[in-house]
Amino acid sequence: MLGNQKGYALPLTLIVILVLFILGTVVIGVTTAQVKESVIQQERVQAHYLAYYGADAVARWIMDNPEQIPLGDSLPVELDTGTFEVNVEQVSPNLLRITSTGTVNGRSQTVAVELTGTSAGAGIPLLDMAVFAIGHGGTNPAIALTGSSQIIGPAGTNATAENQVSLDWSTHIYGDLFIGPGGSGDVTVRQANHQSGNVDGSITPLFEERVYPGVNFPDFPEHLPQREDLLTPWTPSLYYEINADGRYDLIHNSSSRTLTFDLQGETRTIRVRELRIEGDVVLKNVEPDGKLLIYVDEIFNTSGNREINWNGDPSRLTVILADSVPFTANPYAQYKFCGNVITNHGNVSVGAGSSFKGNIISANGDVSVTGAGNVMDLIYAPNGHVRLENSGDMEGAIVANTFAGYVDVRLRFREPDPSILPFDIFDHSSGGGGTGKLTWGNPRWIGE
Amino acid sequence: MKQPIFKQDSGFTLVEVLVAISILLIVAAAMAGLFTGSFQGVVSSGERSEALFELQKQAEQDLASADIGSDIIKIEFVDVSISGRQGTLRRSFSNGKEVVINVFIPD
Repeated sequence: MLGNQKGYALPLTLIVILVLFILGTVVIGVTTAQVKESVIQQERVQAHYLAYYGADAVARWIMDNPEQIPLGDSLPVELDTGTFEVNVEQVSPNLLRITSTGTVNGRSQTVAVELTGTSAGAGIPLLDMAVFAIGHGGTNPAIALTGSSQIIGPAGTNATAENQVSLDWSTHIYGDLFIGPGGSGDVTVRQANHQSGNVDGSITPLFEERVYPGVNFPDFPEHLPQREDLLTPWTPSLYYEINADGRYDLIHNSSSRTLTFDLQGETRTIRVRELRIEGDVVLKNVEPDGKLLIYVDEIFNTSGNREINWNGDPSRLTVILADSVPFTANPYAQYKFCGNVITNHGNVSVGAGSSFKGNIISANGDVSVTGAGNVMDLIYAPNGHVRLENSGDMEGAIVANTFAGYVDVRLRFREPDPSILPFDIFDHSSGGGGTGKLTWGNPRWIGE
Repeated sequence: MKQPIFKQDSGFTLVEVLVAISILLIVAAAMAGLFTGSFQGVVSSGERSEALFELQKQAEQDLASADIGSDIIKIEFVDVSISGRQGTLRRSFSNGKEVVINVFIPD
């Protein structure tokens, strides 16, 4: 064709047009894509900052208001360029994850920030699980369940070693189980039921070890007026009353006599070397601020089917047992006790149909609930072994070094109220403790 | 029998040249418009990127310079409501266009 002297201009023009057209199409395609990409990039950046500052605002709010964590999804928040939504999830007791998604023209960007909780400071330690076993060495597993025992609620331990949580075939934890930081559920937890598992919830390592404070065992009062022994021989009225503070060598309400403490609306302090309770104990005139504190130096003994402040308020009665004096709610009768018990090295035993309503605090002793005994509220024995056995039943929370539920026990979580104790018994110098709620901080941003 | 158009020895060349030039001019004019538009688009997107980069810097380092809106905006959860306002960072680039970043600034 190019050898032809005539008529080549038009085809040449068409070819040039074709080339120009192809070139133009490519150039336009490329530049259009680039312009589009820069707009998309702009929208992504806009969405990112919507999400980022949404998450940041919620994180700051939680750090400033640790007792009001807004769990769940927020409603969409609308700004001029787009919207954002924030979700707050409690990943573990010590870890909050705040996820925020910003959207601009249908393009979404997500950012997340994690806050860690700490329980440093004065106050009441964290009591948010049915049982927390600190698991400091010893021969016992941190948590052991046998028979058909059940924990209904979350449970946890600092332990990570092999089989530190030991669950027999028919036992069950109806809740999440937390193990020590860095632990593995496959190693730390022995689930005998390989088919369906023994833990209903998740098995999650704690973000950091929990530190529970020791017990600040109170000093016994020294300057009380000395009183005569109080015995309860038969009289026509059968009425015996203590209406003043005092120090006794012996108080013994024998022969099923009722002993009444008249509080006259204030704190009544009794120190006694030997306390024998063989009849009922009643408190009267408790309003407005009546509290009975009984300090026992050497012997605490109970027997019979008795009621100790049973229809009263547990915050009104506290029995404090010195050294190794044990507290035993009669193992052979239906003993009923409503109040707090604080022991130092002494063990606490509630058994055989006995009922206990209040807090059991043991600085260094063990606690057992046997037979059909049942306990409500708190067992706090950070250096001891707590054992529920043979249909022993409890509703509340347990903090112990180790915990065992044998044969057929039920431990149901209910947040206890340790503020009913007459004084702050937690030794904050030993570490741990907290305000009852965690404080949140140390934000760590996560790209998604 | 009709001869094929490119095999003809006579006529057409001048007309053909004129037609070719006309077509070429028209196409070139159209293409020039497109090329110019594309070029402007590229320049504009470059400026947009630069403005965006500056705004990001501002969002990270100098949020206090944002224009704070007067309306109260809330992040509402079931039990908690966090109040704040809309902060606006803006930067202009070519032909009066601007890039805007909005952020939530709690009270």
